[in-house]
Amino acid sequence: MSRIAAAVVLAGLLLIPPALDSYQVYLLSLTLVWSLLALSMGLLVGFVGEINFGQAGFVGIAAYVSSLLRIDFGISFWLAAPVALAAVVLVAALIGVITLRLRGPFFVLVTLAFGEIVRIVLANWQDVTNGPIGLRGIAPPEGLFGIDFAGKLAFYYLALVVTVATSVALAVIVRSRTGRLLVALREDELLAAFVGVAVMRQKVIGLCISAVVAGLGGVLIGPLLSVISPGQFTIFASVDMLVMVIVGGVGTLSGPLIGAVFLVYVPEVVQFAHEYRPVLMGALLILATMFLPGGLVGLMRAMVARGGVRPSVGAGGVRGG
Amino acid sequence: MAAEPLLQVAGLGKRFAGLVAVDDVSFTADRGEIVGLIGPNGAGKTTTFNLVSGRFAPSSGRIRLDGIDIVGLRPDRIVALGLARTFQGTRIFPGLSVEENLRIPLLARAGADERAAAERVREVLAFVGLAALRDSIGGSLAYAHQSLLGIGMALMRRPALLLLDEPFAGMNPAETRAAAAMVRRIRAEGISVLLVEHDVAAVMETCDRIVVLNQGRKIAEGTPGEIHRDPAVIEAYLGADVDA
Repeated sequence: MSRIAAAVVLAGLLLIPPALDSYQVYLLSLTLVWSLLALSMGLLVGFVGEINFGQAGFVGIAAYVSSLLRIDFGISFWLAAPVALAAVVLVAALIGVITLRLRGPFFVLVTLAFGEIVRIVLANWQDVTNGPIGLRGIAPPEGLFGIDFAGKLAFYYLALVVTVATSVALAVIVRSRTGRLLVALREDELLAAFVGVAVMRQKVIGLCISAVVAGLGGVLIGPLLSVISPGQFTIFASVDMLVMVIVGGVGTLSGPLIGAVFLVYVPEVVQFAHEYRPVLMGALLILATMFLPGGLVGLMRAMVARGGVRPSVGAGGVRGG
Repeated sequence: MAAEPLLQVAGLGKRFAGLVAVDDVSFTADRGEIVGLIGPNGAGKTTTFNLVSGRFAPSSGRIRLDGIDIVGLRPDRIVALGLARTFQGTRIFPGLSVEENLRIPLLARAGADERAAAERVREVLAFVGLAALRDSIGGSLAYAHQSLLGIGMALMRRPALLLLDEPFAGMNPAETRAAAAMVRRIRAEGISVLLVEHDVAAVMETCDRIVVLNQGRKIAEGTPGEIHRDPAVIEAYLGADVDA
């Protein structure tokens, strides 16, 4: 069922965009980048069992490192991106080793501080980052294997390939040894330790995988928007990711993807004033937590289950109306 | 030359913010032995259990498993050296199936062989009598079944020493007899057992040797017969628990 749905969606994402105008294509690309960020947060919340309010810090590091390497050193996007990802993994491993020992609210607080530190460094290290103004004129990725990425449509397909490949990789990872051990950890960390799971190692691995996914989103942001600035990588961005995960559905991979679509397109459709965005996010978070514990994915599953039951006669008796 | 005991605890001490919970406790457990740790409430037996299993670090003393000092090692390292433990009441992964619960201890060990793992799952399911519930979700099992699953998880990696935390708690006499029989079957598999328990009568029936703690100190050690007659033990339990 979900395989068929995924195939239909993928076919649509492959075939429809050439017929859309460039703004619509841009919105789709933006959704894909947000999908990557939401996936990275979804892995943390649903499988590592932690909330990282500094997740946007990983995104910012990847965005700045890759863009600076291109602008200041003339390095190709295709070389700059892996270097940026490596940098993010290194930072994530360091952060993980230091902070994952901390329990409950303390981990959350330290990640909050980490996110702020990244933002402050980006905003104040004038010589390197150009301060609050940020970096401008970030070029599309250079052509590769004869494919030109200069157009909006070509970039969209690049983002689509990255997002699909990442989703598939994550689906494999959550079913792998690491994924199963992470689920056990999320269920009961103490018990996991006493049946032999190396708790810290698994959590750091989980955080690093999450950081790579966040970094993939980060390296795409520069070429997508052509500008990056410290204001994009604040706690509000991390909260957006968290809302996408919770609105979409915690503990699944489709949840963050659906949450990203929802949160990019809803403000677009209702023409929400930008300054009210944090309020919208907060309200959505509260509403989803109260009324949609399984997120949109849970809601869809419930609807499918109900729809499947309806034709069968018996259990519920005759429905009135 | 006598072989070294499987577990050697020497001069074990634990202070919590000035309170002495365990004070200079020493005992051993040999291969093939079932050792019981008893004492009135607040005697320090649960703390001792948590020190030996590596949940807390001792303030003083040594703990050697098969000749290796395990003080300060991470729980997963201690498990790798052949020590497994259960928890009071039931403690399982409630959202995972019975089979997946049993798989986790094997997955935790790098380079696990899939066929051997499947075989071990079958063995342990049969041993604890949960074969029919293999695909059930852990959290949906009855209390007694969850408790058996907890023991099954501890057995997965064939420990040399199994620490059971109040295995007879919350059980009626028939269930206690069945659990005691299981403890003896575990020993028959070549696994030594150290158990902490409130039910003194059940410990007397099950264990080869008993260590009695009171107010953090060891006050007696011996066979059930010796412990039964020991004046210090009788005094410690008087007023606290007439079973002794």
